[in-house]
Amino acid sequence: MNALSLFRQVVENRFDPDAVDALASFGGRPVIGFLDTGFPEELAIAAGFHPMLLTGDPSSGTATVDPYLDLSVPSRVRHLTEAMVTGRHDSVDVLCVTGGDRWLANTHGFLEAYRQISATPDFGDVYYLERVRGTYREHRDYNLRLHREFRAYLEDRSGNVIDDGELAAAISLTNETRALLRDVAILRTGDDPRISGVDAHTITMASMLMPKKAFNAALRQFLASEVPTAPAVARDSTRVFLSGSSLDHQRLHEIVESLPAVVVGEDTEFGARYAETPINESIDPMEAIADRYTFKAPESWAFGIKRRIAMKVDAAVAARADVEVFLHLLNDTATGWDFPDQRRALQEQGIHVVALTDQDYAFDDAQAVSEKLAEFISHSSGEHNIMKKAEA
Amino acid sequence: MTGLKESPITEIKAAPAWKGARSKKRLASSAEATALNRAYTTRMWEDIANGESFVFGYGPMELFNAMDLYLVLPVQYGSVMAAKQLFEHYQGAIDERGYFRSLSNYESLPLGYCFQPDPEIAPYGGLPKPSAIVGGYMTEPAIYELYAREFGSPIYLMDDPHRQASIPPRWWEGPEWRNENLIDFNVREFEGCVRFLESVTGKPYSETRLREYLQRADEMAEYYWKITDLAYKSAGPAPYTATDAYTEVGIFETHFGHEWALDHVKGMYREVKEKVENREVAVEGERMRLLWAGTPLWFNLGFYNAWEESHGAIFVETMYLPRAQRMMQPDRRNALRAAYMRRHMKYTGPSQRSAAELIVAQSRDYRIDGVVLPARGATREASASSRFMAEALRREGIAVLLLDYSPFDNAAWDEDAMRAEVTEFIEQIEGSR
Repeated sequence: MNALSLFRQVVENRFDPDAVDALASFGGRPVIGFLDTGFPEELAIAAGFHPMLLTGDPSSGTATVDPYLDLSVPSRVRHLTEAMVTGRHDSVDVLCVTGGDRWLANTHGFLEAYRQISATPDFGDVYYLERVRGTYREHRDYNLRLHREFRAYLEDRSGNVIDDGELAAAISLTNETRALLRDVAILRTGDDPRISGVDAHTITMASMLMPKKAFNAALRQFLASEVPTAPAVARDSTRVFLSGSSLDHQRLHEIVESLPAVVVGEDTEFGARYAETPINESIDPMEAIADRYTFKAPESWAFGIKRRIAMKVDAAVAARADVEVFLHLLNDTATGWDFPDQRRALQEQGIHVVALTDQDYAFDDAQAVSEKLAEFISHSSGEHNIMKKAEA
Repeated sequence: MTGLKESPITEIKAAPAWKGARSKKRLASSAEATALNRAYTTRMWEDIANGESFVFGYGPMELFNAMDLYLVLPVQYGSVMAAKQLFEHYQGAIDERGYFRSLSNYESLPLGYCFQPDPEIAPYGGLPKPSAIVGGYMTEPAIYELYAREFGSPIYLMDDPHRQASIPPRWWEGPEWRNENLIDFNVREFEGCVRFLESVTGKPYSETRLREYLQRADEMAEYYWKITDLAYKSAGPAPYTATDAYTEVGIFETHFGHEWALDHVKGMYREVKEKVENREVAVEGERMRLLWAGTPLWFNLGFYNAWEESHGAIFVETMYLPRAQRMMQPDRRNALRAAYMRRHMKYTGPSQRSAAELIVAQSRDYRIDGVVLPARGATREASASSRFMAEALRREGIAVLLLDYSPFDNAAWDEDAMRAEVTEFIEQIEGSR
């Protein structure tokens, strides 16, 4: 099996850790599930866990959780909770919910309340790791304090004392993953992208599902052996940059690339940005981890609108995008406050922007979205374009 | 397309949104609260117009009060905009900038004024440049950052982490359970806020003065607690309903600690006590007590009186006055710590489970027959708890209605449909007796 096929199979089997284990051995390590990229994987790796991203399933309904979740719950969180309460992730040993995004953090409360309603499935341990939303000195110090508490929990749970040498090794490992993923990003930004957006997204997702060592080896193989012989993808296609709500699946990439278009980059947390902000290996590892997770590119729920807009615009320009597709998922109340400034700055750079607002997580109306995007791409005039789901 | 470019603001103004009925108040204290609040507000806006410092944002009111700083809450200003039928006008201005309408709420509505500063139309003659923006207890930091940018005012962000791994049952009783690290962090945030406010407003902070404010605030909280217990726990019909309580919110939410506010609450307590002793009730023949457990319909408070004559059904609330019991903080040695402790996590607690436990206990305590919950949930702390609350209430045999409404968009309000749903709910409860 070539490396790309491995990554695809891992992502397809993400609801079955045993199958992922068979594809890329966990080495008998217990699995700790996480929900977003604010989770400090390095601490889990150093404690002997296998950190694994948990996602919702866009192909499933949400009938089990709908009676318990308010109408205002964003659809990504709804699908994620559905996956949990229907046992998709019940072989995970520990589930860690991270703070910051108020809605994702609410998953912790949903599971606690759901436990009172149903004894099954057994989620195992659920750990809540708070994360404050700013970058003031006390915010970074508080994150460091919380990371230390989490480290103590992991040591207690695993029976392994984490020494700083193991933590430094885990940091090197994840930094290597990020460096390799940045090499993948470079393949997308050249004149003729050498890799599709769908494949790039698959590779990034696989990096959060597979043990890092095995992933790094497979990605090195992919870069060395598979890329040089692969044809350029989508020559002369419209170069699309994706922004807005974070998606932990690739349906939007698939919709875009079903058109004469290629996704050359994203500024969302499960896209190219996961590879950014390596951890400083020259200072105390706990301090370095606190720095990375406090100062990395701010998510839409975090403080730092000016910095965020600048980063997003720089990323779209660096990817040499022709157009940007800005996704706003229904009830994602954090995402969208940057949009007008982002759009204005991109238009000044000659990059046209379309917004898909109030979309559902599963893209049930993919055909309508596709038609609208096709229209936008073929008639992109630089004017303000917004397509509401209701009109799709 | 949003459709807003096809619907200019001038056209929207020509077709004002639906306006709700006036509410009934039974307490003389309610009229006093309205008058006091109006006088305070008038003085505040006059002072602000004359250059007095004010904070725009959200945060510990007792601290602002003790520093002689006026506080204008975006959510409060936004609700006045909506009450004056200006929701479409200002939301339209926000839409025109390219923000998505589905992000709109009371907290963001004043951005419409930033984008279209029209003192002739805006409540209180508009918003001058605030001395400071404070983002505390907030939902989305970006909204406050936009205020700071648009006004050109300095901003201080105060994050308020609140969730923790475990919360004891009946968390509102018993010893302090909040994580000490979390408290320390928040106190440091307050310390930073004090230094920021002293720097940008020139107003001094005095620990002694804050302690005095907190002492009066605690006294007020104790009176509110007694008032609630007298009104809702006493045998027989209640002496006031949700509409009196909502009128008191103007004092409750912003004036804790002022001497005049304490005097007012003492008077309210005397009045309610007298009414209970004399069996003076709000609604003769009260047969049913409903709890409105969401954000009030500020644009339509008369809604809560609609079933009093026809069905003997009254509404009570638990979001404001009953919360006072959980706000008292007798240890005021570190005044900033006390200021933090008295407000933090006091609405519903920090989780869905804590919110569900509280509403069941309150429903029992206040002899509630049915609870109306917002189907879309609230916006902060244990947001999105409604359905877990409903599940817990039903397990206890308490009827629940989940009502799908927007608490701020009066244009979207369907009075007939909402009344029909509540009427059916009331009649179902009657039928089940």
